[in-house]
Amino acid sequence: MSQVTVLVPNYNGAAYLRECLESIRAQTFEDWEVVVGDNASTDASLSIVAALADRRIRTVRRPRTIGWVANVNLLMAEASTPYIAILHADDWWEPAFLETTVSMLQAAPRSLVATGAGRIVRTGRPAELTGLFQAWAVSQGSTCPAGEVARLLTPRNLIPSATVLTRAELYRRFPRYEPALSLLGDWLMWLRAGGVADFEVTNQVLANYRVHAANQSAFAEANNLWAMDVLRVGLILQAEWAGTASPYPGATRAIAAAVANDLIERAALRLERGDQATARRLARLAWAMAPTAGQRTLARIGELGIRLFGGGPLARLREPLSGMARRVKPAVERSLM
Amino acid sequence: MSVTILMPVYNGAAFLARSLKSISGQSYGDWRVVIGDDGSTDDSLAVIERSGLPRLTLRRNPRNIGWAQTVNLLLAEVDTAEFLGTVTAMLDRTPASLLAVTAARAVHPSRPDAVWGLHQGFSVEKGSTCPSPVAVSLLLPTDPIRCPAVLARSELYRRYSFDESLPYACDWLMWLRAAAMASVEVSAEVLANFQLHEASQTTGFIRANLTTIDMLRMVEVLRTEWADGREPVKDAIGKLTVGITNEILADAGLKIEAGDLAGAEVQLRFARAIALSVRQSVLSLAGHRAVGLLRLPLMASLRTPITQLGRRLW
Repeated sequence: MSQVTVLVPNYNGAAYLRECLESIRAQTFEDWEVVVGDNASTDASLSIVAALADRRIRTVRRPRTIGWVANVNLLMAEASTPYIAILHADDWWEPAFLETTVSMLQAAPRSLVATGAGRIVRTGRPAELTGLFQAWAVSQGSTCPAGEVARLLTPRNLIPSATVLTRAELYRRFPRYEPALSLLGDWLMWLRAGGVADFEVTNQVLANYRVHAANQSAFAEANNLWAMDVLRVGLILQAEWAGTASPYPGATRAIAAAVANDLIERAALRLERGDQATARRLARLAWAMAPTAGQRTLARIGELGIRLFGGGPLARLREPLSGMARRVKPAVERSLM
Repeated sequence: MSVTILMPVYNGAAFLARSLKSISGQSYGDWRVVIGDDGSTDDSLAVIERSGLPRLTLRRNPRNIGWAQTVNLLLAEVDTAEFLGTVTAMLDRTPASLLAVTAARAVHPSRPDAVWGLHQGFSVEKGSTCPSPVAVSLLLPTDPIRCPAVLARSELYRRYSFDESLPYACDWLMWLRAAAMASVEVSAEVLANFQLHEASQTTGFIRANLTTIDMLRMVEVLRTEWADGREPVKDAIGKLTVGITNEILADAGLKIEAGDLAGAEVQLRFARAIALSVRQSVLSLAGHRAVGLLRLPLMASLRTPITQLGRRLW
């Protein structure tokens, strides 16, 4: 049996799949196997896998296209190795990914997750880095302790799934990505795991994560689905973290505040694009989620501002005022929380 | 084969035999069954084997992935699904309709049976075909259609899958989409039963609040789908929003009765956030304030009488 199973969910990823699989074959650590979970693709994906003729790479096929979360959850049943990685067909690794992360987990038996830096690749924009190292200074040591991980990831998800190697035990404790979260399933997984398990962190760039402008995330943005997923994460964790299960002091309040902040930011973006109606709806949802009277007041003021300056004769004042609001917002928030 | 019956199963051993027997007892015989077991850990598989049901295919998910996800995988099994029993004749007569809906009896362990169905808003005496706009209007305030009471033309499922991000509302969304596309055949005859569980009440806090998110998300999905004059009836999104606000307020009422005041407060706040009508805003605000008062320890002894008063006023 190999040490690592790499699960590769794929839906019509023919344009990237070869690069993805070649990046696995180029790993300096060689004891791996790959299972491609093809989600009823209609492009050349299957022939790309077949052309590699690599017996370490096998494919399972869905008879009909289902959500990517369900595809990943089904793929999990294919892994019987001590370590599991999930690499989406449009992402790819640096050659040292497995060698680095496997040795980190071997050196830290209590940690369930090892994660490095990920390069976010967008067409037409310079690459940016993201990773837990941005919140956890690795000079303190590579082990970010349970609880602290959850705290650092509460404001937003820093960990792209391509940068992660997990012990199989993680998925025995948290057997599935939340089926209803099509966009933020991984964030919830790391928040849950980070409440009870240590994470190994490095700032080495180990993975590349492709963001498409025109794909699902654009569709999701148009439909406000990001906002809906953020709300769902907030409500799930408020319930799970209530009482003694709190991973760090004030966790339920912090996640609610993070969700409310996220919604307010989305409302501001909508307003900038002139979509006043959506901005108002988002601001009201932010109000409903806000955990403190101070944050609720902020959301109310925001909504009032949208109503006053979103259209009509006062619209000219919108940009200077929203710019000002953005500058003072952090200070106001701190004083009210 | 005219009809494919898709049956998602997850730890359903206690009710499965009754369900399978109701299939083998159909007066209409041109069917097959495909069961999708979603990683059951109880005796479900043994019950299925013992049933001896003919024309049965069993598909098994290696892990539990969820109801909508299992149904979507099962939809791959459909080649020529069409009609069942009385419903058959209805869809046979009206090729334009995509759905046929009968009345369904809700069976609850400790409460009297209740009947659900589209017939409650549409008089079937003048004919069974409910025109598309009427069906949509009936489905906007609430979802009276229960899955076991539905037969669909497979064309519907070639066009749409169940939305896997809506574990509690994906069927509602499916019926709304179907009704927006075509007329619906309606029967007032009780031809299906569905089981309610005590347990589903007590999964309480998490579940009901996520129902709220499901409904909010459904509105967002339809808002884009029906944008730019594609609304099937006038002000459909507004009516749907009013409908879900009522559902959320009703949920909050149930929570107050169950003593979950914190949960009720969250619900009431969401209701206030989305309320469109003055009446609903006032109701949710009043409810919100009342719950705030009731949460004071001093008021504990007054909870029950005040809640009852609130219910009567409502």
